[in-house]
Amino acid sequence: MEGFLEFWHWLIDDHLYEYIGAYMFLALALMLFSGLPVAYALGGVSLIFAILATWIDAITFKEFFSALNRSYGGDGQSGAIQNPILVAIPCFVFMGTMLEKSRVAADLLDILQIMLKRVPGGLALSVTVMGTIMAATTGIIGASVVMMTLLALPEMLKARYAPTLATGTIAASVTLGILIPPSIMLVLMANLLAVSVGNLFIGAILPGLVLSGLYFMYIVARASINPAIAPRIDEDTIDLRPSNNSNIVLFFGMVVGFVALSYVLETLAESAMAGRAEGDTATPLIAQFNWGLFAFLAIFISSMVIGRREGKSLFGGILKGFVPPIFLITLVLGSIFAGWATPTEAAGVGAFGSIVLAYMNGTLTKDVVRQVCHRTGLTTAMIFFIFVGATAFSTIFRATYGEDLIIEFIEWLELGAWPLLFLLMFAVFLLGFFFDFLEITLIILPVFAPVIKAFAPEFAPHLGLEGLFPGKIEEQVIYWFAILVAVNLQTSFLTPPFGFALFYMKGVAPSSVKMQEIYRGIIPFVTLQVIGLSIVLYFPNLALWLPALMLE
Amino acid sequence: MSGRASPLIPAIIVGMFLFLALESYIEDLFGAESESFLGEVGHLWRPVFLSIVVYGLIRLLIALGHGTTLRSLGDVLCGAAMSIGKLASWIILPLIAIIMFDVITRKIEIIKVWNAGITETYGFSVSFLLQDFQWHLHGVLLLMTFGFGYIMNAHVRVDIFREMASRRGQVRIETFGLTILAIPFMLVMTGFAWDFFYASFVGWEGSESMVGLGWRWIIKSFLIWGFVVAMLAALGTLVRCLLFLYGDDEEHAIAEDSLQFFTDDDELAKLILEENQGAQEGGR
Repeated sequence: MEGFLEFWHWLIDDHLYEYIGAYMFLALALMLFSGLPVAYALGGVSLIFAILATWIDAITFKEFFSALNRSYGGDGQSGAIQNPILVAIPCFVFMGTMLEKSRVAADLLDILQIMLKRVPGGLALSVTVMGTIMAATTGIIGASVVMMTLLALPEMLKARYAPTLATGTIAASVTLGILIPPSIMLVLMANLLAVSVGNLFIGAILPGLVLSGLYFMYIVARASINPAIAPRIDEDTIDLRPSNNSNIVLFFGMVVGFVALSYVLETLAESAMAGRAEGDTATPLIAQFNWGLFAFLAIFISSMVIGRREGKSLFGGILKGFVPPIFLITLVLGSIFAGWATPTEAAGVGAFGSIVLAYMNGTLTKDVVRQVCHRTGLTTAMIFFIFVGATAFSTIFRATYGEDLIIEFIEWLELGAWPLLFLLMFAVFLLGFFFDFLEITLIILPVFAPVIKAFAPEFAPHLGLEGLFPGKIEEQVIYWFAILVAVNLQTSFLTPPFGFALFYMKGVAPSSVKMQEIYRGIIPFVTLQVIGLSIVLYFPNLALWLPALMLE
Repeated sequence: MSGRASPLIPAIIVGMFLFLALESYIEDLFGAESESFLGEVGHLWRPVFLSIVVYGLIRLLIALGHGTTLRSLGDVLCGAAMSIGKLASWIILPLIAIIMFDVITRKIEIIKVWNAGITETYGFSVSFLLQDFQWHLHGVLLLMTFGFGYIMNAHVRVDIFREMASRRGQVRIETFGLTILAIPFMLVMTGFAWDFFYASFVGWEGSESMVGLGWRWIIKSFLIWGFVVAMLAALGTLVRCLLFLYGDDEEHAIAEDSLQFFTDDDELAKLILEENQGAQEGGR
């Protein structure tokens, strides 16, 4: 009995007191793998451990109140509700879902396929372009993979593409969406790491383009060497009228006209501003219009109107199906990059633009709007319930010194900066087998980021940042790290046998497609991912150069 | 499943945990000097105990043959959470409209000039109000859809090991998670949300920026509503889970149809499939 009491005393007062954070992590892992909703597991485990920790006098239960306070936000905290940045998320989700449900996305795929028909592997390339442009916005990898598989896989199999190439292309292109802006993951990352969303978006552009360029080269090479796996599209199946020349002339005439007109008006406005009388603060009428923006919107609208008039020809398809989505994405990203709009404003404008596109496409029915609203509500609820749970978890984890345990552990390993980076990357890679980016971004990143920040000065020479003041170095290292994590996660989602993008794909693919074929198809893309990741690791300027340029 | 389970076990569960939950009150009642045997902070476990009492009560009612009543209770709870969530989903449209309005009034020069005139004349800026209103709407949207998301199985799960379990096993896991983790968590969050709201209401908290939207207690009160609605969904699902596990054959079958989180019967995937087919047929 004496021995038992002593053991009990040691267990509660020493062992548990010190390692409660570690047990909390273990319990979380157990609950997550039991298949409960992640948000419930996070919230419940943090509550139980908050009570336990209070019971052994490690914290006071008031800490749990700050979990609520922090999920609410305000006071410059990165909460879920009082936080203007995160308003962008439902808007981006709405935009992506609307483009998909209104068949704007399907039309884009159709027209891309026709435009690229002479290129080897044209259909696969169209899928890559689609992924690059718009798969970003739907919120979770699982849903994006399901959508794109339903949209593109039957079409590719009908065109007698090899199932391996078809499935590999779809999985890789869709997951590229988490990296290429507008990406919800980057919004969340920026919010958590307290960096600018716009800069992170800009930083992700080049790495994303490098990856999509690698896919492009691979597909073209593969299709040229062995045309049997990617046959050219049958000319007979394309049902198009010849283009009406007068419409082509009309459209390009309007484009040139609008651009010229806006240029002239801008010049006039400038001279009017310069010619104001001394001390006159009133802006002249002509300078009160954004002529460039008006020209942009005029071209946008005339493209859609002429495209409708032109109807079912190649040119009409381009004007109706290709130009408007490209313009919309350009508008959204361009206004963020130019510093003209905050990500939230850009997202709202993008969501509105998607409604306009659906309307011009003639598919804006009440039913579609209802479906899109419900799906947006579901995705938003999913993202932010995890956000609330993860906030509760990290609050209690930090209060019970769980983070210090991890930092102590890393110090005990006595790793240098580089081995440490590889260790963290490997950990993220392994976690990506089981978890979507939401859990990893919201739970793991807040733990890893301070570690990387602590080692920031050691990365400075590699990033070409010597001589800057420490805060600036830390910021740049964090941008680089965030993008590395993004590329790494994407790779992880694709890697067999666990990569869960592949499971979702198998779930909705026609039964003729075997899991082995999906596995075989993805391996070349995983190799490309690893090359891409090494490029970003080796040339950090890929992620840092463009934001720096934009700032100047 | 044939034959009902005996009401003895659930009755013991209810009695035991009701005693534990009310233990501190009971001791007060008898004027006991001794401390609670759960320690000084034993009352913190109360949400967990209460949740287990609810679990026991539902099982008791099933065992006593009130399955039909419980079924309609589950339908009402889940239905309420669903309708509220569906209604709240529409908030995205006014949110987009407000952002558009805000962008137009601030970025198009001529309207901006006109807008600035209003601010000068009347002494307040619509723009600041609208920017605050944006995150208010966003907050309501996300809080009120928590329960809807759970019932539609939109919340992320790690399905890798759950897939191997039978349907009965999956329901058991869910029941455990709801009773021990989800409902206590939401109970505590609701309680804290009340304190949070109350402090804001009593102090008549306004906007930080002087010109923004005041009345912060309104949005803070939605924290309470959000967790309450999420709790409705969780309770409704708990009722259905227990009917699945302990009800008679008919109740079992009906509950099985109404539960939507089985790995081989994913409601969201089905929804996407159906919508996609509908869209394709509509397109042709």
